[in-house]
Amino acid sequence: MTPLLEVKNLRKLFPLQTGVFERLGKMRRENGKVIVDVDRVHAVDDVSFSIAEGETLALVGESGCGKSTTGRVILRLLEPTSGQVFFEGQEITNLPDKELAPYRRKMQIIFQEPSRSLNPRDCVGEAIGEPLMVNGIIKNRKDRRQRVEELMEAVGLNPKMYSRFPHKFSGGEKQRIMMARVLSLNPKFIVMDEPTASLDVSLQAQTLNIFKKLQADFGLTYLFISHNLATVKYFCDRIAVMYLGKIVEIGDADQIFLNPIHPYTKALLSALPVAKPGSKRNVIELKGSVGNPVNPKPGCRFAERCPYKVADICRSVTPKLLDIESGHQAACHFPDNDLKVELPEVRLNVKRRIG
Amino acid sequence: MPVDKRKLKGKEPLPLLEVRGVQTYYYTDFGVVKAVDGVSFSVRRGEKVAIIGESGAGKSQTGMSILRLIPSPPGRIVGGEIIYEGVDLLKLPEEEMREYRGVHIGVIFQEAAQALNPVYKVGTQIADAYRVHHDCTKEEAWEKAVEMLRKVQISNPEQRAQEYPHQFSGGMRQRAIIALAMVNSPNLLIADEPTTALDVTTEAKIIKLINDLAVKEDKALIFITHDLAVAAGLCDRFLIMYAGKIVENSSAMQLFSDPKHPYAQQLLEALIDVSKSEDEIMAIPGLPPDPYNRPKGCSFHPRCRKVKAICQEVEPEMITIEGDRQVACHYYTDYQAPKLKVVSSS
Ligand SMILES: Nc1ncnc2c1ncn2[C@@H]1O[C@H](COP(=O)(O)OP(=O)(O)OP(=O)(O)O)[C@@H](O)[C@H]1O
Ligand SMILES: Nc1ncnc2c1ncn2[C@@H]1O[C@H](COP(=O)(O)OP(=O)(O)OP(=O)(O)O)[C@@H](O)[C@H]1O
Ligand code: SF4
Ligand SMILES: [Mg+2]
Ligand SMILES: [Mg+2]
Repeated sequence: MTPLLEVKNLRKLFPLQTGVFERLGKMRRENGKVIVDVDRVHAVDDVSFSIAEGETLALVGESGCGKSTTGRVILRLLEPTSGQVFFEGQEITNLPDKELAPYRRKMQIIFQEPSRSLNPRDCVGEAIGEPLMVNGIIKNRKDRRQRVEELMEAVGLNPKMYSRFPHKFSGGEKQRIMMARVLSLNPKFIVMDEPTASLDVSLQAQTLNIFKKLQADFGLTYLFISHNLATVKYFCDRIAVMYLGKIVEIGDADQIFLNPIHPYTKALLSALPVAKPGSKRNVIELKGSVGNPVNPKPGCRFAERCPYKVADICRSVTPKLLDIESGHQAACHFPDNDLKVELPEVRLNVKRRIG
Repeated sequence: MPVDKRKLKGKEPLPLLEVRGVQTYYYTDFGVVKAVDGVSFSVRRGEKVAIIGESGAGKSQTGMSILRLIPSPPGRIVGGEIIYEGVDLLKLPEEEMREYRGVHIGVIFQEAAQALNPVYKVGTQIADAYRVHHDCTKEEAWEKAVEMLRKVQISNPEQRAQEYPHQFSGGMRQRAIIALAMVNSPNLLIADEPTTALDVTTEAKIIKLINDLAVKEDKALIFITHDLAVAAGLCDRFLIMYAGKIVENSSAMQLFSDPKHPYAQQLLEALIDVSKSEDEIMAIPGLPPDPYNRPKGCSFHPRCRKVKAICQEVEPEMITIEGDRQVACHYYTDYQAPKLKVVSSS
């Protein structure tokens, strides 16, 4: 069966802004031509994965590792530097705008910072109802109001707030307005970029429960970008772990939690905060500071910070994703490394299915 | 009983900050929102205070009130006192208040849009903030900005300082805001959800940085968050807010081992335990209260599992229990010890 979404060798580089003098220093002549060596941010670097219909794939990883860029390139909000994206078997990477339009409606995104996508002049009802009107799904105001109120209730907003303006809402409330707005189009695939980061635990729980229900009812497929591993474990079927533009490990949620392979995955799991003051666990510390995506060196992107032994091969050969078990791959030259992860109170019978 | 470190710190004549009965209201076409509804607490030097509560509870508005950054109209601080080092900030003229912002009291804003200007380079914004309060050259200020960006884990800071906010990832923007707030090393740092956009390993490094700043030289921190787990590893006092009011004021140990207010109890139970399998996460039933029309009596009563007749009529007062612990609930005593196990701190 063709997956709903397939991404092949996706790459997105951003040239770095440099001062004039720096640029002059980087000028050189080659075969009589002047060439400027531009520094580039390798935001997404050769990423491939697929998502089956009805499935949720989580994209987790360090701040700045390329998660949001991946989501945006898939939706063609950014043009890829190279690589392909297939939706329902159709390659959409090079589709002209007109042919892309039907896919745009089926593929939606919820952004990390809700206030940036809300127009301060539209009241909440208008903000949520706008896509309904623009796309001609609903034609009269009365129907719109009813549908919008349903959507507001679905995301835990009081329908009485229909006429209020977005800037009067708290951070969490704004994110729920955005959710209602996206859901109004009945999309098939939603990129959720940190959709619950600004919500408190209780609303997070409520919202995730709503999303699960909507997913089951409408067969929605999600790419769920998050840094919150606890939510990810609860919410997602599979997890892809990214580090500096590359997927370093991918597998079922249970496989990632119970049998993590890559040293970065292990470090991430070991650093989960626990709601207990003064609790002490063995956190696998990463050396140095957050990784640098500018002109990365050859070899493993994680080599500079890897808590496991870093051998010569790590510095020279880029590790490929290799099969660990069925559906589980990791990109490390030492998949047998013995780094131990101490999860908070691990119980090894983790089985979690959509209710 | 664990020893309360703060009591051993010697006599402290004055807390660094004392908030007394502050009321911040918004007057809108639809009615009055009591965003902050009579909030009182104090922050001592060296103390790290968490403000916890659900979305819309009034956490950010409490922080913004301390800085007097309430948009007016429609908002107004209609009552209370905010005493910082003996001075009532609410009585100061605006020019003098400006002196307090940034140097004495720094803020990490919840939203990037509030803090970063999209048309200036990130480095320029931090350097400018530094120059306002320091006598130095442009180059020195720029170097300071680069150093701050490095501290908040921006790799290649010399080059990235040249970029504009939209060229940063969400988490990088958040870290730039932290750099901006800390560049003048304020005595009191108000951090409003400073790590919501960060992964756990980066978050741990940033929390450590904030912690180093707060502890150093007896500075203080107000840490606003809905993430109990992160606050648990950092803060020593917890203020639980609900519908514009503080409903519980406890030390970290007290709260996590024996929460008193039913809302605090239900909040602790809603935590996701990664070690467990759950088909549905526990959520506090019901909707957050309508800010225009808060329930009579105890605001939490429609969602409370211990509600009795009196709760629907009479608003519970804040009462002091166990020394400096406070709670506002008619029935705080009859709670069965929680199932949550607590690891005692060493
Ligand atoms: N300009 C405004 N006009 C009217 N009401 C406002 C305004 N700004 C804030 N409010 C209201 O004040 C209340 C408290 O908001 P606040 O931003 O303090 O919440 P919060 O606890 O920080 O929530 P979150 O966790 O979502 O950030 C909310 O009900 C909000 O809608
Ligand atoms: N429009 C842009 N112009 C230049 N660089 C960009 C742009 N968008 C993203 N980048 C850079 O690409 C890299 C990846 O950014 P991205 O937003 O994808 O990270 P992320 O994984 O979503 O991080 P976070 O968790 O912090 O949101 C970062 O170094 C970022 O600065
Ligand atoms: S390949 Fe080498 S450097 Fe990279 S994660 Fe594995 S052991 Fe560490
Ligand atoms: Mg992002
Ligand atoms: Mg807030």
